[in-house]
Amino acid sequence: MSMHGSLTDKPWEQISGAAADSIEDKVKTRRIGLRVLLAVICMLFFLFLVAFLMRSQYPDWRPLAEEPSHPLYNKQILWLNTAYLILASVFMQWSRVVARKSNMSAVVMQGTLALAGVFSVAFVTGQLMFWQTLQSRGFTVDLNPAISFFYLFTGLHAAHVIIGLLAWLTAFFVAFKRHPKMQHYIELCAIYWHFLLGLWAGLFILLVSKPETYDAIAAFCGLR
Amino acid sequence: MDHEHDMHEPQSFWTKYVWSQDHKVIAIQYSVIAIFVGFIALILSGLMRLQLGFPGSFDFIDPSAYYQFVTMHGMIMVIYLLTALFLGGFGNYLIPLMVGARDMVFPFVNMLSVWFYLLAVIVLLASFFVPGGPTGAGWTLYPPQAILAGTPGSDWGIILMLVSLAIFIVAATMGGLNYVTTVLQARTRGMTLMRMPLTVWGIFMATILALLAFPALFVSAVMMLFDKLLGTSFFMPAILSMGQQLDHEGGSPILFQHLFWFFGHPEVYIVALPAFGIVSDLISTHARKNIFGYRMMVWAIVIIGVLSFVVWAHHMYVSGMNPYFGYFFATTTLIIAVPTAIKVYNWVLTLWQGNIRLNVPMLFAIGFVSTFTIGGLTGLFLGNVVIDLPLSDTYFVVAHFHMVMGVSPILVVFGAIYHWYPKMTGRMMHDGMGKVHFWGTFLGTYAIYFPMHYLGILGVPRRYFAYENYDFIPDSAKDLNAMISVMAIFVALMQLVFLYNLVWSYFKGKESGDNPWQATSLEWQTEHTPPRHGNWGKEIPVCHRWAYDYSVPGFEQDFLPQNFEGKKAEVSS
Amino acid sequence: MAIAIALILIVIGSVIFHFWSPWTMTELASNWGTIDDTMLITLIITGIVFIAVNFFIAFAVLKFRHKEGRQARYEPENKKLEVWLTVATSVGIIAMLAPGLVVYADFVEVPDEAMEVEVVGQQWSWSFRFPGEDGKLGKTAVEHISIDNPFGLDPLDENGLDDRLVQGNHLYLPLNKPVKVLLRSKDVLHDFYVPQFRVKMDMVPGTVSYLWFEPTLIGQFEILCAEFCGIGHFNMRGKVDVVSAQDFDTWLSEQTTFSASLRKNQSEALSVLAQNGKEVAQAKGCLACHNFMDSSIGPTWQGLYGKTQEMVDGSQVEVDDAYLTEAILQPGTKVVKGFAPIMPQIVLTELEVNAVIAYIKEKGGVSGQVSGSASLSGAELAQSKGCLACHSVDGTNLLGPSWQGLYGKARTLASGETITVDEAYLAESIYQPNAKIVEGFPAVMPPPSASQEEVSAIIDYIKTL
Repeated sequence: MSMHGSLTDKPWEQISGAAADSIEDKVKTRRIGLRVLLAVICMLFFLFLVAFLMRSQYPDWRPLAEEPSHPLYNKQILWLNTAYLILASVFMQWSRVVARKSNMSAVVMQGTLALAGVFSVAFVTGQLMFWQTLQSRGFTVDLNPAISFFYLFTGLHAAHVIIGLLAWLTAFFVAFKRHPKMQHYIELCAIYWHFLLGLWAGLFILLVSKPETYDAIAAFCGLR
Repeated sequence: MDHEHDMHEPQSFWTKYVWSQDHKVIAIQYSVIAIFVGFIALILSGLMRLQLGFPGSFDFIDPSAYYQFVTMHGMIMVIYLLTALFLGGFGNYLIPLMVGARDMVFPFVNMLSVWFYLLAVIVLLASFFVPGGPTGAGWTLYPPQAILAGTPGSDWGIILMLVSLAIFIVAATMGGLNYVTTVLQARTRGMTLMRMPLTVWGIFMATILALLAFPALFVSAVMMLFDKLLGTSFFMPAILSMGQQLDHEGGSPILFQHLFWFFGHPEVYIVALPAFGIVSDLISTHARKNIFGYRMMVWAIVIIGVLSFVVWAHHMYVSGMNPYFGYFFATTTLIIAVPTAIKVYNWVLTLWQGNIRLNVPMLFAIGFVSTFTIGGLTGLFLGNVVIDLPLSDTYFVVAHFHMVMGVSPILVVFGAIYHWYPKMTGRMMHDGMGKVHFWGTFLGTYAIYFPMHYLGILGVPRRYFAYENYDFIPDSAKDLNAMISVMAIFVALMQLVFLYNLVWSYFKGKESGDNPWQATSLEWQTEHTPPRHGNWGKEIPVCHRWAYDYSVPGFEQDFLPQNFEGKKAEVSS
Repeated sequence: MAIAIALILIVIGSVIFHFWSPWTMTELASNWGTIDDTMLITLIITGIVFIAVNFFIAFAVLKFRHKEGRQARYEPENKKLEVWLTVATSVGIIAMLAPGLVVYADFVEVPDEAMEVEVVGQQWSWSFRFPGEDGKLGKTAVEHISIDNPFGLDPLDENGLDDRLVQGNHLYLPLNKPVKVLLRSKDVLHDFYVPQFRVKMDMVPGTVSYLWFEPTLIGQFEILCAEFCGIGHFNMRGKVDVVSAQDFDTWLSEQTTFSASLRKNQSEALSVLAQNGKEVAQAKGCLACHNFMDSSIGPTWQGLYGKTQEMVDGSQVEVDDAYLTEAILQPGTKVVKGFAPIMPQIVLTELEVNAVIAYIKEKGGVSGQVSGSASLSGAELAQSKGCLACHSVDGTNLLGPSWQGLYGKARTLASGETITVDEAYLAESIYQPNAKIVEGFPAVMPPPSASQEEVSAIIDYIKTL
């Protein structure tokens, strides 16, 4: 039933147990729960984005990747980390596809799942190492607002990856024991990892964009 | 955390009452913690009133202590009492029972939620014992002063406050995931959205607001922690503090205010919408009449929820933001008054031609409509940008928000506890004590907050430790303040009657039976009272009708439970 | 039953209270009578609704309370009634909002003939600034704020030189002339609030907000802070006198100009070369990142010359002419540890470089000098420096210890030590307020910007109390 339809019912007019659309389905329920969570995380980062754009309109803003002396001008490490995260996402998907098959190979499924975790750990470690590089070059968190946001965004994103890794541990344990529930767990992990990848891509693009881009977006949103 | 536990009764004391995953136990844990911190906040407000009513008579209340009391009172009442009680307490208890589910869909996450909430409360209360004491920045925690010397608790206090809020947000999000997904996925057969009781609608919408609004508080808390601990300049412009130039530069205090109120305004409705829903059910049940205009009530809840995200800056008319924003926010704010007014009309029209049983929950519900009307109407003063210029930051604002989100939701909380206590314990609460409690609370709060508006009209600013030697404040205002303080302490003492009643009735209250109020919604149709783990017996009830079939023509009994199958046309007496 | 009677009594009592209460709006002293009118419209409309809703509930309870055999009416909804109520509510809302927005438009648009005055807030006192003959206020910035320059005026901005500066929490305004009040804060949020003028606005550090009004009543009114600004918030008092245009002009001409106060405080004796270097540093933007305070962006110039600095690569360099020249002309080659290599390359002539170096040497080598003569009495200074916001002279304890009978008394410090209040102790407490805190008081006093003479005048004043 459509949203509009279900909100304009006159409930006092129909009696009986019509509309049996709501027998609980655990798998679907978990997926919906995850989507609600992703919506909350989206809102969180959206608000950070708004704060970022508003702050970028103040005169002390210094861009991050315009000139060789800027902290993010040299993006090699970040590209490498991005590659780790892409690989993690790809292996998650691989594992998910394998787990869906009825005649799946448990070894492939467990192996790809393990690799996904390994690459996620590599991503987090890589991000930490990049932080250290920045620190040693003198780009501390309080240097200017753009770099503060860089630390804030990457830190929060990494925190979400780490929380995801806790879920991954559970999934891996379940998959290792070949519990029948493992397929659902892997499904959920895969959705979450694709989301993390998309989120990172968005943040990466945002952080290395030109100041004119921020100005344009801010002007478009009426923040100036 | 799966099917296997559904039918089993947990065995030991620990799994049954402490590490429980039963939504009813979690609800009671939430409620007990919330009421406990609520009483602390109540005592703090009493201390504040002692200073305001009888300035200088109490040596231990110096300006620092006063501002710390104000801040902690506000924050605890808004977040740790009202939000936690409506969503964590009533939401947890009522949603699964009312939609006909055996439990929340993620019981383990639900249990984590209550433990995170407890942790948040412990961190918050710990700030009373750190050097410098809790923060005294006002519950809005505006930077720069919240994190600078000159404000009490600007070192440890503010950090613990922000950390506690962040933990609370995690707890609320875990709970919220449950409530939303349970409503979407675990309704029983036949329970369409439009058959849900308004209580569920109110809590459902409030939870969505909470999930989307709390991130804004989280963002501002994290960024302020960065400014405080790491020396960043998100909110901190180049400024002086105690005569010293600070390293900060270029930040915007107004950015914090935008983020804070983007959370803060929906927060008002996170508290109000569950109250709206619950009071609808109380009025309908005890007036023995269907709620008037059910569809309009649902739409109003949805519309208010959506609009509550585009009115935040009406808290900032005099904040120094771009003054042209005032036009937009004044307009949206006054528009939101329309669906709110419709809800009031529908409550009073439900009473019309009813068969009104004036028992304690009904008294509280009527008290709510009356106090909420005042709070809503004074909101029209403050929402209209130009009238806000003289009235903002005065006692008019204090009186307004205490009426609209202090007194009226608390009256609903009391009404709801008197209403559902029989289901939770199997015993009725004592009627006489309930009435004493009602009259003391209702008339007392009226006597506190109605005259307080006039202090604001006079121009008395809020957040003042003392008002001596201000020429425009006549001496009579001091007498009024003393009267308000006496009433406040009286109302606070009345709550002891309530506490005593809670405990007394648990042991000695009259046996209630399964459905003492003859109500229609599913929670009253359980096999056992209180319902056991898993809520229903072997069979989950099937829903056949909406929740408001009271006094249906052609039936002898004046209520038809939602799981009652008979058709209107078939049966007649 | 009782609830119905209670509601009726509440309504009647509220109406009586409204008309008989002695707590009404203060007498209007500005042009904003229109705000009062809008409030009256809202009051009438909301009052009617308040009475109607409560009476309706009371009536419904009386008429339809539970009786044996009564059957409630079954009526799920009534479209017509609901539409009718929605329309009526909307009409009421428009009747309140429309006049409100019209008046608000007046508030947002400042009339062209309005004169400007700047109000500066700091914890917990007020100061004021009027433009001089040129009608323009000079630029300000927090980094210019010093003992010599409490307003933080930019000394290089000519518009600011003739600005009239008023310290001491007391403002005068001319009658019947619109004023645009520019609001600025040095530290935290404040709010300029005079109840009789009706309008108020926050003062936000980092930006300048504004409001406008036209005083219409001669007399003295109180200025209050309406935005929480720390524990002295309730005591941040000021006065505004509305006087005739003539009296105002006389008063204003008596106030010091910025250039006069600068001359008085002329502490910067720079050579011609260094003076030149200062201008270069200003024009090329060096001072944005380097100044004579600690900064996270670039190394401070205070005491820089002759110092040994550690570089990013760990090497040690003594700061001399050669190093400074290299650092100015090729910024990326040797970067001081703790700083990011963000300095852009700037083209400077040899002479300009030498001038800047001379400036760094002379200004950075000279520590701040004490100057200025106390022309005000101790009592006036205590008022104008904001001391009296926290220290009473009548024995009541505010935020700080009362000054009454303070001198010569023995006090117990927070450290447990007991001292006798003498001149040395008082002077120390003024210069370093938080070094010795008296037991029972919070450590919140900001060090005031006061010269030696001013401090001794204040101490003499304390002795007399």
